[in-house]
Amino acid sequence: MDLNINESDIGFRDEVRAFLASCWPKADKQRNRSQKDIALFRQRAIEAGYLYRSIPRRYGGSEQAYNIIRAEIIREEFGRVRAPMEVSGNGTSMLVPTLLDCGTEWQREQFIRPTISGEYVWAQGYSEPGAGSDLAALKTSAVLTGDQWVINGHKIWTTDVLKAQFMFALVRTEPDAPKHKGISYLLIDLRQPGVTVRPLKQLHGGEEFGEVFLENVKTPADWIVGNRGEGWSVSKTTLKHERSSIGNAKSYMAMYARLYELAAGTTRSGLPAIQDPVIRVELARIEALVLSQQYSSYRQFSRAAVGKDPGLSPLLNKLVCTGIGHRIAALAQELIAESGLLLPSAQVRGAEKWVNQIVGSLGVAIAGGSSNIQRNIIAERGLDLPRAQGEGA
Amino acid sequence: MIFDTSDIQDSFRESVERLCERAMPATQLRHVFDAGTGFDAALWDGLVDLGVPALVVPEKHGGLALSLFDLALVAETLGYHAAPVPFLGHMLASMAIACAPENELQSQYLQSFVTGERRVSLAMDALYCESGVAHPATGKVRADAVLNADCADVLVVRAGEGCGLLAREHIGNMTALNVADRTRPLFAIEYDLADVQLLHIDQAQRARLLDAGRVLLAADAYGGARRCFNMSVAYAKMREQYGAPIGSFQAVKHQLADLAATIDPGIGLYWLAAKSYDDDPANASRLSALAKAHLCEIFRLASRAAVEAHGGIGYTWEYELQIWFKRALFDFAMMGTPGECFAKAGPGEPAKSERR
Repeated sequence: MDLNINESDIGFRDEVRAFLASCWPKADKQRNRSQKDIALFRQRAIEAGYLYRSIPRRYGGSEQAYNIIRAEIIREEFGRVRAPMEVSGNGTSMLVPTLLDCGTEWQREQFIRPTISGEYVWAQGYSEPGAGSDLAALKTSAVLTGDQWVINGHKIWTTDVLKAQFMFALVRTEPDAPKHKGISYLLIDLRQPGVTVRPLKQLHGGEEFGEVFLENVKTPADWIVGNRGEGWSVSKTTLKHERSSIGNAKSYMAMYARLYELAAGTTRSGLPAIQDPVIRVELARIEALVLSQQYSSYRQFSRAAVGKDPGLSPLLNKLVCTGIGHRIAALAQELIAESGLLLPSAQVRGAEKWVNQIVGSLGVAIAGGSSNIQRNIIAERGLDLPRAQGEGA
Repeated sequence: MIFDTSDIQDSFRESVERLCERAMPATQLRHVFDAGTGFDAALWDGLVDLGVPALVVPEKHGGLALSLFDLALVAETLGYHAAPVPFLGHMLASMAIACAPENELQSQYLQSFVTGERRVSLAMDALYCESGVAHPATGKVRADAVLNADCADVLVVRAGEGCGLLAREHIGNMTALNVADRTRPLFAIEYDLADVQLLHIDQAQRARLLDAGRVLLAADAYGGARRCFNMSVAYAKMREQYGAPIGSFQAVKHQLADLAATIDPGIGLYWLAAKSYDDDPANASRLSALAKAHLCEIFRLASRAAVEAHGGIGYTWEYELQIWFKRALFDFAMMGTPGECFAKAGPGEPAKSERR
């Protein structure tokens, strides 16, 4: 669906198409483009106002007025021709918005530009072995000694830590303050003695995150974002950003399309699975869920764009999408049948590649606030149900 | 395009909402339900005054010629309030007459349906062109499920392979069925085909009326499910056990959060189906079946979850939650069960652009 509100949005879509036609010609095969070509394209897209729209020009962004319809038009049009979007990762999606909200001028100047260009890769240092859903129970300590923080502790489930040079982390700086008030948000250079990184192999064999041991690790005093003891509220900006990106209903429509193709290409009891009435009904049920969420998202977009209250829906997106992912995984597992005995490998790309989704859908359920934490948030913030002692989000 | 209601649609919906709140407080709803008439004249007159019966009637017959989406928004509100009015039958029968090739029945009747001077309703088998059950062309016949037949001046009924109009005086032997949902009563009637004035609408037009009916049921189900959910949340805040509101217990919170996640996105699918009925007829039949199946299944789940969330009081006749429970039974069974409608819809073949 093309989300155009009025003539000016249609005109904007035409502008974006014209830009892509001249700067990202279809004829070239994507794989022939070098990293330099991609960086150059991104630079032009920033100059045109299409990427990093919420980031001021002085930090390397394109500084555009807030307009989610236009942002969506850009995503649609860039996606259509597979043009490079913003650099993905914790840095652009989580750290940069936090610095814009709570960082000092020096921090913004120092970190935003190299982060959005992809030069600086950031790990997210939140969880600890004893602090998962109850994140505010974290124990990693930082003590201000002269003009440096000295950090000791153990971070785990640290996304992107294997390729990151830096980490943004929540650490305890005020050991005598109440749980949530004793936490600060620090930026840490990981390339120093005392930092030990160990990869964590995941259920499907991938190694996207790891654990980090911090032993007398140093960071300058002014690498704190926000004030001492305010790290908990500083970190809330970033979690909010992560949720909206995970709840992207469109990727589930693409997943439904692949599931449909899997059913069309699979033989089951001598017939194409797509002709099996049981498979057809389950596919239709999944399609109903996916369309519901996709068009509910369009409604949320449309309302937010003109300042109308989208209601409870934004709080539900993650839990809804997690549920759809589980349903897709269950049907995929049924369809791939014996290929589900295998794990995917780089050399062989058969139906077992679905094992990545079958396993990965569980990762989605846990990452960025597990489903049970989501349920607490929905109930307490969305439905205004009373908090009980000792729980909460 | 923008995927939302317009300001005019919002304000119209608010008018219907306010009317329902005023005319149909819980005491009045329970009264109508127990009286078994399934019809609240004051509420219906209020809807007529707001112009609800005019929404999908052509302008030349005094209507507003708006879209099914507009009508579906009303259906959602009426579902939220369990409104005991002959909305479904009146609207579908009006649409049946309006979609026929130009004829004198239209000028004779449509205007009076808009002004509220006459009420019209529908025998369900007039829509079921897919059933394959043969229907005689002459003689005395029976219709087993007629919506609100007792308060209709004229009915759209099946006649052979088509359908037509039957005036009230020609209805023979009307029997009220022992319906679960007393807000939308059903009747069995007998009639002589010689008394039916034929409407020349073909199978494709009847199929399209069935699509419209499914969209309206999906909308009704969404409204009903929202009401069941809201009642459950309110009850969880008020009811105390172990010295605390039960809504403070995590088990209850999680049930309600899951219910919210089940119900809330459904609005996207029923809106999509209604809008495709108006703008994208090639996909309307599939999407209306898909929306009907999905939303009525959700309403079924929500009504059952709400009874459980209320505990003992939810299982009583005197507490009004039972009325939505029964509307969920109606929406589930009418015009094809979710299982039948999912099978009819089948999985949609994805557009090429979506195969990323």
